[in-house]
Amino acid sequence: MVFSSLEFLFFFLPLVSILYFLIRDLKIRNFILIVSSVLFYAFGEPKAILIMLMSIVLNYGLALLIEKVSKFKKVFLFLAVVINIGLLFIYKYADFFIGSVNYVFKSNFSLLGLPLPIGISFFTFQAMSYVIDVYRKDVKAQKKILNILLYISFFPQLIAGPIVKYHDIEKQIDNRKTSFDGYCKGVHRFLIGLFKKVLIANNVGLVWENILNSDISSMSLTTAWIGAICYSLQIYFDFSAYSDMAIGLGKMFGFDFLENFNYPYISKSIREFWRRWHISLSTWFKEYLYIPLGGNRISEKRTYVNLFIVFLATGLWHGASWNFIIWGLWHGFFSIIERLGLEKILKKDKTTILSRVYTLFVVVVGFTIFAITDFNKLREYIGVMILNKNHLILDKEAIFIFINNYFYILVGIVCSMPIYLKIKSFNKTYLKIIGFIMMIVCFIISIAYLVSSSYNPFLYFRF
Amino acid sequence: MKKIIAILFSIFIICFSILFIVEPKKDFSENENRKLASFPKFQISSIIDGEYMENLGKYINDHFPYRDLFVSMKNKFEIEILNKKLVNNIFIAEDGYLIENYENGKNTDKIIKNLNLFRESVNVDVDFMLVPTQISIYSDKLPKYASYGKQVESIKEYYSRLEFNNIDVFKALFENKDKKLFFKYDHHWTMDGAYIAYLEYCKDKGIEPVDLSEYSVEDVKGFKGTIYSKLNYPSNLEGEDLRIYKKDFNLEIEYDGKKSNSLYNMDYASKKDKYSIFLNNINSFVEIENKDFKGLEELVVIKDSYANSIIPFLVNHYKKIYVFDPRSYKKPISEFINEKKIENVLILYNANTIDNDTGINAIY
Repeated sequence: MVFSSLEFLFFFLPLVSILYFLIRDLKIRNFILIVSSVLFYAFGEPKAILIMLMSIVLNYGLALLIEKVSKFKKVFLFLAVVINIGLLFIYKYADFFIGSVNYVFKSNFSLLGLPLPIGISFFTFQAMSYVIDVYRKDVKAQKKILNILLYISFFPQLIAGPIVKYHDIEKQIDNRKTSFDGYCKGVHRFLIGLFKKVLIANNVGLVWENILNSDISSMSLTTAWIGAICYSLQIYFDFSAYSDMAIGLGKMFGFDFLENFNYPYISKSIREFWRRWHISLSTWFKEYLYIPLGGNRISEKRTYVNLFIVFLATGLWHGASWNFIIWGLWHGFFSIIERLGLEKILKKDKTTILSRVYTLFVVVVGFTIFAITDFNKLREYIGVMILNKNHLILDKEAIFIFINNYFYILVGIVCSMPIYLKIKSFNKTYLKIIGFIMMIVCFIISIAYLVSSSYNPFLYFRF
Repeated sequence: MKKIIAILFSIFIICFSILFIVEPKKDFSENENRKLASFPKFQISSIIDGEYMENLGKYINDHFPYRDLFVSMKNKFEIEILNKKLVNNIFIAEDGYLIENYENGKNTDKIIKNLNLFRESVNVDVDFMLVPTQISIYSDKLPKYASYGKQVESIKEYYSRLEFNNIDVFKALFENKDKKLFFKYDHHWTMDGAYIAYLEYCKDKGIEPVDLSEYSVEDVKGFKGTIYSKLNYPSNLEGEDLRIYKKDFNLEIEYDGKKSNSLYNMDYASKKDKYSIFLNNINSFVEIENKDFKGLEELVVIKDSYANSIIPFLVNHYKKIYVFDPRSYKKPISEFINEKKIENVLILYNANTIDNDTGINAIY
């Protein structure tokens, strides 16, 4: 089930909220959240629920063993990491690996063809964070399995993050305040996410989809760039909208999740971009991979190797395909160059225009690599973007796409900047009233868009 | 403010969920011309493979309160406020025309191959008419800068690669575009459009065409067709006239075995789907006998729904017309033609839908 669906908004959410707020006892409340989370997951992936539950039980057990039998704690940690990564490998990467082996060695191993359980990358990373935290004695192993169950399966963050770390949330599970004020703030945040998803992400996504499916050989440079920009807007608004909705839902039930995005498109360098983009993932890799590898404390050379590994892992985390790996290394490459001195040069530009243009260029081209899995298509598309003689710079098609979709694109660009925060800081009543009216209008239009997405006139008589 | 918003949101959500539960459910959406999803049956197996939940989602979507209103609201917002000119793949064209976009065919090679195999399997000349749609004939009404697929080129490709006797109606339709040859809110041509194509057919076959003045005129009001259904906009649209040309024939017709003596089923005049008046909507096989016709000529028509409104003209020239709809007629039509020793075969499609007709693969 996704948040931006009628069944979630009008049935799942009100049912869970009413039950939750009718009951005062925190233990029962947690139990309600667990049951509803399992149902939420089962709604889309009834079979994969067993994989998730198995993962939870194993991690719960191993964390207890790490604490109880500290003599062998390294063994148990090793076991936990192997199980988690192994699970991820079998379901997510095995076929990619087998396919690559077959390609290189001309061998003929058959693919497993296992369906990817939704959110597996998210929940295995959360589970690993818990076990490692216990190993490091940052937290105590949790004796109540229901607490671990809730930590990993809690439906707001279950299938698309943010990746909550156990040490950030441990105390809130047993001790949190649910208030009317928090509920209202949560609803507000949830709605912001809903608008971002339904009004911006989905619509720029359609623009991108249409451009990608049109004939690349006759595409103009402007069309290709509109497409790439639309995809960059789509992935940001889609993903950050999901985090907004998750954070909002968490707030409604009294949880405080950490922020996951902080206006990444205003970054002045790729390194800054990664401090603003999918923060829960980059801090996860920092805490559980980069620093254990030695971070930047061993030697300069080792730092670059570590950075390379982290970006390789980041790319791979996003999907089992070469284009994700290239995307990760593309970002790694610019990160390392910035460390080697590019950042100093960029800082000399006081207007920051150059550094912003550079960053956005790397990010947008990066997301184009991210978006197109087919290599030949990717080469052709990037070719159009960087001026190919056989392609026009501007054509009728580009103009039409822009005038037909300028609204979504411009709103997307404007909302990528922290203008909302700026307006909020003025603290004027009339601005608040305008904001209030806009929230209502946006909500009604969002529902209209959601309902319309299911409206398919079946034109059997069209032939 | 946040509190008021949260309260309004909660009230709205709960009201609509209650409304959904108490509201009587419809089985059929006239607007969309399709059966709406029914409440899924509880089965362990369908729960395990996720089908139950999927169907439940469809059910909720299909029966959401004020669904049609929300859809037209969304389209109104896009057309009037955002000034969009292409919505749901429909161009908002001049003079109120709603024109379906044309996307270059994806199955052209396959269809051409199968049609040529069909040609080899019959021993007679086959006439082929691929009708351009609004987007080619009324391209001057399209919004500025509109870019769309190359329909005219695609028709030319079909004609040049097929071993048929081609009847190209583009020029004739284009020259007569001042007459209302296509509907504004439906993807079909009007009977006036069909008549122009009929004249071209007669010219090609060396037949003396029947003058339109021999027909009486009947206008059915308030036709809001398929294209309108896709937008549900403007919501207060009155619709357009659907003009029917009628002539007294002495006919004996079988629509998939059901006997009738009229080419028009006027029951559809009071329904939304008014184009279905022609030849009683969709039938896989229709047999028409003109009892007054003196000769013995017989014709096989293999077609989509565009042909339904040209048949009332063709009836003048044949003793019998056999009409096949390959989407639902699953036996090879070539066998029928060979067995009955039919000498006239006409394949008639519009250029927008031929690409999607998988039935063509089984006509030989």
